[in-house]
Amino acid sequence: MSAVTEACNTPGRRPDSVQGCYYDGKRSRRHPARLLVHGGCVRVCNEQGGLLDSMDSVRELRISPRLGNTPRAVYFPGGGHFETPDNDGLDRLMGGGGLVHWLESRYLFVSVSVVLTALLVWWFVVQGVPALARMAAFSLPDTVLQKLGREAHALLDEQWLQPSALSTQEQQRVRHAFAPVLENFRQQGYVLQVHFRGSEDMGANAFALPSGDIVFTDDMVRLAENDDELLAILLHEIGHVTSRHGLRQVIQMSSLMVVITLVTGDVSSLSSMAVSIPIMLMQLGYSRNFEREADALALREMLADNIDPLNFVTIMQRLQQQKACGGKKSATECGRGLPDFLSTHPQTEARLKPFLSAAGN
Amino acid sequence: MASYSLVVSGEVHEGFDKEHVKSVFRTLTGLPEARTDELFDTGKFLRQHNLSEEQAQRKRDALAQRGIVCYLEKETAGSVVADDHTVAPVVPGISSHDDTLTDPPSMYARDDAKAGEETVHADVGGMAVEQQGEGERLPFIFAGRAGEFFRIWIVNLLLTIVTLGFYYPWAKVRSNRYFYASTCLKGDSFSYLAEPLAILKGYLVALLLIGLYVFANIFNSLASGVVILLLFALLPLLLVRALRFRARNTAYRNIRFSFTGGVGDAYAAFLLWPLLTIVSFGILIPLMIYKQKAYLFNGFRYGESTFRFDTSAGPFWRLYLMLFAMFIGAGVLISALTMVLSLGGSDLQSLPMVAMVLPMILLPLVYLGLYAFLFVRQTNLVYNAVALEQHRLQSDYALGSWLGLQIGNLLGVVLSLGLLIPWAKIRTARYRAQHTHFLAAGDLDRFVAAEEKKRSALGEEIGSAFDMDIAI
Repeated sequence: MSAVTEACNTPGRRPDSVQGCYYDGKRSRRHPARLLVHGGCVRVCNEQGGLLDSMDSVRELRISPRLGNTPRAVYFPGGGHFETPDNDGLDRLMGGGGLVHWLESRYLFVSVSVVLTALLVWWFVVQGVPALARMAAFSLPDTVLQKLGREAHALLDEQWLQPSALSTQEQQRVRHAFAPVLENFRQQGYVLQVHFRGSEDMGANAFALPSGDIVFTDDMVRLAENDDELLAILLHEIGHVTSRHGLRQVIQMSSLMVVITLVTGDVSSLSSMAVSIPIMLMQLGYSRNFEREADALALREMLADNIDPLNFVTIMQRLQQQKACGGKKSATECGRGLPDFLSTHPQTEARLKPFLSAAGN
Repeated sequence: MASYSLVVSGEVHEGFDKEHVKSVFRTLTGLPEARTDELFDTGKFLRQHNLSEEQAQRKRDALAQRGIVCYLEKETAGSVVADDHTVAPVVPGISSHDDTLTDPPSMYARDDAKAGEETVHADVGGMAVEQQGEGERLPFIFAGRAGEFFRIWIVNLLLTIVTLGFYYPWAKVRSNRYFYASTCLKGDSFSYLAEPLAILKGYLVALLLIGLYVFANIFNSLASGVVILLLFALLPLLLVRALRFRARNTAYRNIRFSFTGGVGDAYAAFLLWPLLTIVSFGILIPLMIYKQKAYLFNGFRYGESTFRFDTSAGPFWRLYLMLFAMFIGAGVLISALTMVLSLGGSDLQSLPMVAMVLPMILLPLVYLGLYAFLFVRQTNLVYNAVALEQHRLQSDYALGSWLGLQIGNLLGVVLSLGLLIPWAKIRTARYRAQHTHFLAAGDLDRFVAAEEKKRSALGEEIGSAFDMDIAI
């Protein structure tokens, strides 16, 4: 007891003490206090020299790890705690401030962290997410694709599509032209089905659903000058199906959300806009990659089936001209569309280059 | 015998016209108009000490009938000397069986002249005035710095990535601790005490639930529907868990907060009311928001002391009506503007362009403006209604400065490719602290810690995964 009072009564600030406040954990009163370490014993004394709390061994006390320059607490077993903003003093008395704080206070490590984190996030978004999505998409059973496709098809039929206005003969003619290609893929295990639909909103368009349903709008069929052009489009869409692009897109989107949430922490109010922009841009980037993949398959198949690759070029150019100018002016007059990074599809010129050079050979 | 004090908070019950209530209250008590205005329009209190339980309840009921919000507080022994002989019969004006005020007591003049115990005794029977507002208006001070937090944030991020996400609970605790410890009230900072391992467990369970849903969704739409319904049904329960976890791990001056809201009430506020709102085509939104906020803030405790949500649904109705009117007004204005512009356009080619582009630019701006308006007004409304015993919160978010903050944050984060996220967070926290005050009715030394109760460990940990940002 005498040692205790002696320690408490030592006047002035000694090198083995830190100033702070003590809270007993029972009432919300603040007691200005000093924490002293004396021969392995820890004591907290108030300004009058009275003992507030003590512990025989420094090792058994819990000390909150250092965190910037925020005040830290020493927790006593009785429920009281001593809090001090004097972090250096506390470290001197009670030992280190923790590894993470050490890392945080080295500017070299912080700089390395910035570079490393940026590189890792970049790599993960550009390479990791698509690779992961591809792996996941190809390891999921066909039933998943069927289900996704059915749902999408039902939604499209309900909202965007009308029954086709094409004559039965015209439909039959196109189906007949498609038959050998479809049969070829059926033998490889892909069940593909072609649908014709009218659509005022979409104009000339064709798209593939994960289930293997490929939809041609009436305007698309009318836009084509021969069936080989339609075959070129069909092969491109088959590329989307065999590469499971629909499913991969869904997986990529959700992985991106997870990454962004990890980076930003809890996203609140208007800042969520800041988050949706990069997600959208990345999504567009993935989408352009899918188009290139589908183009590559289309070109390969066209060469294998002895279809002139120029057919893809001609219909794509007509399509672009119609999209950009509403079919009124020539392509040169209405200028370029959106810049590449804002577009779901790559610039048409760049896309068509491989087809042109293949056609030239 | 225990004595009670009756506190009039200056709020008006739902469905009562404030001006009418004020005049009724003036008649009942003889309080001068200026003082009545002060009571009802600023955050001040009126208190009558030293009533028996029965008296106090009768007065409370009489006032409540007339739309005046008031509540009883048990007086701690020794705070006021109870003297049964001086307890006069209830003043006619406030008694429940006589509406007319024959002789308005003039104690308010006396209250102004004298102070202390004497006033209390002289005013027994009437409404003794004690201006709690005389207490201090304490600022919340946020001392966090962007540079310091940036280092914590980037190291957190790197460690989280390198450990494939397993460090995330530690990162979250570190980040939360920084914001709590940097927030100061009257010289003492808040503490965040959650254990990372507890949070990790919560996340693993949450992951399992999400995995279950994804699995069910992939293979069977019916099963996934069942899982979704189950999750929805569990949501209020999880919310309560999260609130308990968050509150229990928050402390100020070594006294922990807690959340005591019941599970049943949570289902009413967060399942029943949203359903009713959907059924009513959204008309009940203000009432739903009010019920939810009331549930939250009536549930918090600091030590043994309870928080109250001291307002009625009225202001919420007014706010949302105003919002609706502004929305309609903006819509009419934009259509009118579009019409005028397309009429004035001589070039036929540009006509559809104007009609298309103008609403596309203006509508998001209007949406953002209205959102900001709602957020600022509702934040003020909610926090101004939060009381802790005689203490209150005061919130004065302003539309212009808040929009400036958010737009600055948005631009900063986008242009820096995310590197300024910590800066934006610090700015937001600083704004919140600068625009919130604690109206202390007395000193803050008398709060008592609650008895540590046994708690279901895992339940609250699961809740932590669904933790939302609820500021105290």
